Amino acid sequence: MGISISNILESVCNPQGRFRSLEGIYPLGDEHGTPRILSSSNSQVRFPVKWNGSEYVMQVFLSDDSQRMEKLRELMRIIDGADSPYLTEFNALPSEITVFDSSAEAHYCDITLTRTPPGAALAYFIKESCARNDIQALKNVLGQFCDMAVWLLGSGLSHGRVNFRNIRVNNSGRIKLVNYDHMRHAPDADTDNKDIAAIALYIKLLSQDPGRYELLGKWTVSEIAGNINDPAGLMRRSGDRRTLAAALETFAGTAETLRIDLSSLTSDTTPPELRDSSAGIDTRTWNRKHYDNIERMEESLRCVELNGKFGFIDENWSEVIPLIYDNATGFKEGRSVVVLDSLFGMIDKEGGLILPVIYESVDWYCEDGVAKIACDGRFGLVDRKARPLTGLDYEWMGEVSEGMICVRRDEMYGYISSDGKPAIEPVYSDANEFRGGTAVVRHGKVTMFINHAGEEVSPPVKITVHG
Amino acid sequence: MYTSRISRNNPTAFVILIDQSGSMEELTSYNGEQMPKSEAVTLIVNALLTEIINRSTREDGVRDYFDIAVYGYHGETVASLLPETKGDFMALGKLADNVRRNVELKKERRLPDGSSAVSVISQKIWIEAEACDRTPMYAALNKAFDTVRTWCATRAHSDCYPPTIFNITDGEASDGSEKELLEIARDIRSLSTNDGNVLLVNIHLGSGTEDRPVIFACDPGELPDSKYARMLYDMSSVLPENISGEITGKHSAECRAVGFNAAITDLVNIMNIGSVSVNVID
Repeated sequence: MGISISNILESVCNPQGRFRSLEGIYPLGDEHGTPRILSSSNSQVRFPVKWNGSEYVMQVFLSDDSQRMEKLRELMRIIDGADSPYLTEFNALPSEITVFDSSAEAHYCDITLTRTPPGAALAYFIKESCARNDIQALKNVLGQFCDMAVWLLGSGLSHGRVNFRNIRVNNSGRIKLVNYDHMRHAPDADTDNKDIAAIALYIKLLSQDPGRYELLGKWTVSEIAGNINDPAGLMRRSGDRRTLAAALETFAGTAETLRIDLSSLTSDTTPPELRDSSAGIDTRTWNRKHYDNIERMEESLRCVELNGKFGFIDENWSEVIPLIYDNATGFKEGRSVVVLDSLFGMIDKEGGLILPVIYESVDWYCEDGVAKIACDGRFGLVDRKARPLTGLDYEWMGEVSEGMICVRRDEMYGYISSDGKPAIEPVYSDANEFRGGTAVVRHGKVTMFINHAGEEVSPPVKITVHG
Repeated sequence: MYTSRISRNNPTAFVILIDQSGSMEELTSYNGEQMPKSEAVTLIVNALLTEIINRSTREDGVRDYFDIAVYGYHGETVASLLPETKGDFMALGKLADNVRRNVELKKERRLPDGSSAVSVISQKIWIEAEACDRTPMYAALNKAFDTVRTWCATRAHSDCYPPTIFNITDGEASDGSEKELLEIARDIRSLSTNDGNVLLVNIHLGSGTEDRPVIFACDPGELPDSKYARMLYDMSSVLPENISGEITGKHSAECRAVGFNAAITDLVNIMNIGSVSVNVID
């Protein structure tokens, strides 16, 4: 019998005798005293706790995994060894907490304990600073952030999730990185670059005009990063073309404290392992027997799989896009959808990232030259160069059919055309794709057929010719 | 099949049918306490809802990975037991915001050092216990069919992990013939999304005095020689291969999503397997 989050909650709420070494630890609750869950997944759950007078985030794992714990212990040693003012105390404690399952059987679960630095998340700090129109605070935190980024990029560590929640700012404006779930020793990885650039750009824009917060404040790092290669898209969405263009042009050069060269971070988003893919490999020696799976040739390239990783070879069996992805589709009109760590992106035939691998899903419709993207639970549409055709405006989006796409907004369905323009207002409680010029929709309790203009029409008649 | 990852854009649905007939007043043992079956079942369903909410909590709050419907059936009535439900389903985030009350539960535990301690747990309550009158299971299954048919027919759900229906009962239907019950169960199982057919899980609670419980039977011969047991077996879905192999260890066998003479702890296990083993996106 496995353990549940409720089983873990029981031990966290009744800590006496349940912890091996963390005497005196207790959970922090909401206004009703109920312990707060910060986040969870099928494998772990996080709670805020207090121990020895300080606040921590306790992460409890629902299942045993000795390899995972060994990696976490190694990470603990790396963080200790780094002795950085930008990192916080991190402990990995195997079999630390006793948890009873629904059959009252005791289990011993691994935990991590990460000290929560005093202060607030960067997201909150920025929001408050903008509300106060405190340009100096924003400039200060921009400088702090850039100092931290320079340290991180040179440290040989990859954080893996640099975002507004994982950066804490204290009362003096000093910042620390938290949440080390994805941190690893990877001197050559540029995993963090785009997120760092996106956050730097974001703070820079707000430090010039905190009034932009309403416009930009709802963006996630993913959205900013998704637009950062495309200043035109960024400008269109910000609605302030001239000042934003000026900000982008002068961004890297004018801020003395900003030591990131934004253009170098963003002009070439191709990971180094792609750019240097052929280094040290004599591709002529590769042949069919090396691969676990070989797909048919599409647009002169074959998708191949080896040890669960996907890449592409050309007709000479030369590896033109190395096998670094968890999945990849064959090329259609010069684009392939790739998957890495359960996130989706899109590449061109040189392996360059057209869409960064940050999306919950990407569907490429080669006939229409558009891709449907999903990010943080919202859908949008981009063209083959990743230029936004819509914002992430929709709760759901169907397939492209007859140049129309069924979309849902505020729980009502309507249609946009494949160039992203609204076509039929979202007034239906359910709707289906267009087939043969009509689509079935439900309006209230009435199910009916509509045409491309949104007009109700008679059901199509199926004609059978005999003889 | 049965591999769709559950996300806010691709949620799944759970429909829980609870027998609230008079026989559910009979006592059973749960958490070391004697209580009516009706109370034990509602505590378990409330705990399951809590667990689903816990597992769907992310940094930005509770995500709507699941649409939930809970119906109670007794007498002539099949009614939603969720608070403030306008439609058939309640999205998870809304459910989390609509707790009726909290109760304190106590559990005695034996700690690793040999000492004993009492755990105090605050349980959120959405579903209240009731036990009276007869068992309109056929009407309840018809309600579940209508609810799930509409859900599956919604275009946005076409690629979602298919809905799961848990039917929890301790007795035989008072309103449908065997033929009718088998037909409605077959109709429910025939509903589908592109990811597979709807899963119908039937859980018959024992009184503790009958034969041993049979959980996830892979052959009708495993069940007691009872026409009713055989009918529940025939009504229930074949477990998807990826779940079946994991829980029964019998990868090739066609095991059914059925529990017969189940104890209350078996009910917990069956519902946990049927619910939290789905592939929620991290």
